Amino acid sequence: MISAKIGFRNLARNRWRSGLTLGGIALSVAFMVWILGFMEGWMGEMVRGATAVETGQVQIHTVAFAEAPRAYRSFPLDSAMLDTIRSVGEVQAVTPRVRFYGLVGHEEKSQVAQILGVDPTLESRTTPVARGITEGRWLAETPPDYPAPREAVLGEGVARQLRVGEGDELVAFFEAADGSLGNDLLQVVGIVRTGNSMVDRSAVYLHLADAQFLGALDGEVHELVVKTDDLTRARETSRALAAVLGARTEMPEDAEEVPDEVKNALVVRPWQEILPSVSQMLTVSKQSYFMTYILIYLVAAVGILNTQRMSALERKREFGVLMAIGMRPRKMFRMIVTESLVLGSLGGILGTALGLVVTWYHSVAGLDLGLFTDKGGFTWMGVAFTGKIYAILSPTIIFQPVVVMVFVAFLAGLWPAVKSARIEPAPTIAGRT
Amino acid sequence: MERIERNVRTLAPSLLLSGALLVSGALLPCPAPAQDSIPDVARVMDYIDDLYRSESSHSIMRMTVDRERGTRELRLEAWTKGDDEALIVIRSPAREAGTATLMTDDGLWNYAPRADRLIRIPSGLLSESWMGSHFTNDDLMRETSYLDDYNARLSRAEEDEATYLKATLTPKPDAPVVYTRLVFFITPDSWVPTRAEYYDGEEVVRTMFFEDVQTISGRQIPMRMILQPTDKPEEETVVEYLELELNIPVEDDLFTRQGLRREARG
Repeated sequence: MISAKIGFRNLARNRWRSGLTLGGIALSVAFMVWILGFMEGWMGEMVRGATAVETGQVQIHTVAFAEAPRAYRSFPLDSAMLDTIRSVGEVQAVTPRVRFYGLVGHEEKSQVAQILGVDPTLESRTTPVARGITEGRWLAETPPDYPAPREAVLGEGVARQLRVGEGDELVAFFEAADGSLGNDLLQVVGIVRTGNSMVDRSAVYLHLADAQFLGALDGEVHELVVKTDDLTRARETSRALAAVLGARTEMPEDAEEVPDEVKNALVVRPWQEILPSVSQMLTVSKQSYFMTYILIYLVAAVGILNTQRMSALERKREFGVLMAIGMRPRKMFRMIVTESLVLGSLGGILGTALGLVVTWYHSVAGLDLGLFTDKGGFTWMGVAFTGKIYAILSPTIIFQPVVVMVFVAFLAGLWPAVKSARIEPAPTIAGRT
Repeated sequence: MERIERNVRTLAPSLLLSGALLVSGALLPCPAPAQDSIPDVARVMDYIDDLYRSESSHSIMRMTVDRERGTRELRLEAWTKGDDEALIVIRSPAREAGTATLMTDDGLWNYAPRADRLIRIPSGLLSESWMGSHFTNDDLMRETSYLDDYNARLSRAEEDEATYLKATLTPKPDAPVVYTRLVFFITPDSWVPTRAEYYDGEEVVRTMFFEDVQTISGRQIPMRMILQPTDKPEEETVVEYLELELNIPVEDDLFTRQGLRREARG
């Protein structure tokens, strides 16, 4: 403790210089805290945006459908299966879907859309799609009786492209599971904006029963989408689900070439496998933290090094005297290193406090991404970022930057300390070095 | 993301229409067979182009689509008038009966009988699968302009001890064409196509065979066309003409929304 005290005192000798170095360290640490908090928030948003609306955290398909989605690659669904899935601890909700690619439009315009047959209640429990309604309403509990047109909810991009709004009629045309041509009249009951560009640009939601009828898929579905408590544990959850369903946990090597019983088997996959690009992006981003540390802390380290070397040079004679009166080199070394550590710790603590305040503010008030683009938002990897990003604070984010900074300060203090510990008392006091 | 083309079925009359159009004998310039020399390329291409044009026609066709999952058979009825007006109605199977495609100067539409509505087929879907068959919408739109959209070259080819005229067509720079090259094999005497190869790069991606040549209105016309995708040799689409009437009176209003409804629902 005595060396810490000496360290403080020594640093206080040149307040101006020490203060500047301290400020630099504090800013570096504060910046690092903020960057980590912001990146965590951003990536969380990214994964949520990518998984929440469309894929969910875990999906179940037939192997053949997972390999290449064709209308006929469906599987029978009964309510017992849904109950089995819900019985797995981490499952919050599950929703069945059928999917067709087809033409949707009217006499003037049409476009290729992804026709999603969903159970309105289960879908809105599993995904936030129903909350994304910007016009009209979500699908009714049960489809209307014929000959009323089938209810449809359109992604806002589809609606804009086709220039239709609530109440307008549309025709859907697509290849049914039996190879025939399904077609029916739809009426737009709602328009949805989810932030997931696949959904917003190409999704047309129909009632599950309607889509099954049109697509000649009586009682069969293409996928089950599972919402879990913790998206970081999606792999574990999907293994647990595969176990209770007796399903596969991964795709066979070459899914086009396997026998039919394998093709028709179910496969349970977490979002990391369904969206490998998002998953890889996360890994890369985490690795890039290291580079950020290097870049930002390098500047701080050079500052510390400079300060310590300068102050050691200034005090060279003093050190010479100390050595002459019996101070051991090891103790000299320790003293200088302690000074660096004090500098690093003090700056780190100040920086953490500063970073905490700013990051906390952004975790509550959010950071408006509109600041960075004139369009008020942008789309990245299929996720639209239009609103605010909320930074995240966690123990790691708060303490990692300061701990790393203390370590960096220690490293930066090594060289000045070694130099000072090697002082030859006599020539130094005499000023002959 | 999934390739849409396998799943989207847009209705556009394609070569089957062309087949219906094949028949307008009265309009066709006569091939002037010259056994030894290569005929003028413009004349041959004009003739092939004209094979697909007709004053008017009415036909009944059977289309058999062989795919990985099984075989489907459709019965189609078609009318054409001039170069750009055509109507095809599916007559069976019952589930799809009444589904129709209308082509006019203004574009292409599908008619959805359950909805009793038309839906426009965007030009971006021209190269997409038609009705789950191996034909594309583009077949229809392009087949009418071999001379306009392609540079043609004519040569002689020997195959199975027979001599053919071989027409090699490369798209002109701005032509709205998906293939990089088309090669037609044509009999040298009566200018009947026997085979057409469609290239993407240096690869043949699909081949059309013309079979069962019959004489209709003094013209030799293949009554059966088989379209074979190269990457799926076990699949094919066959179109056969069961009835063919040429240069018969066809009402103008057939190629309107009202006319389409009348025929499709009747």
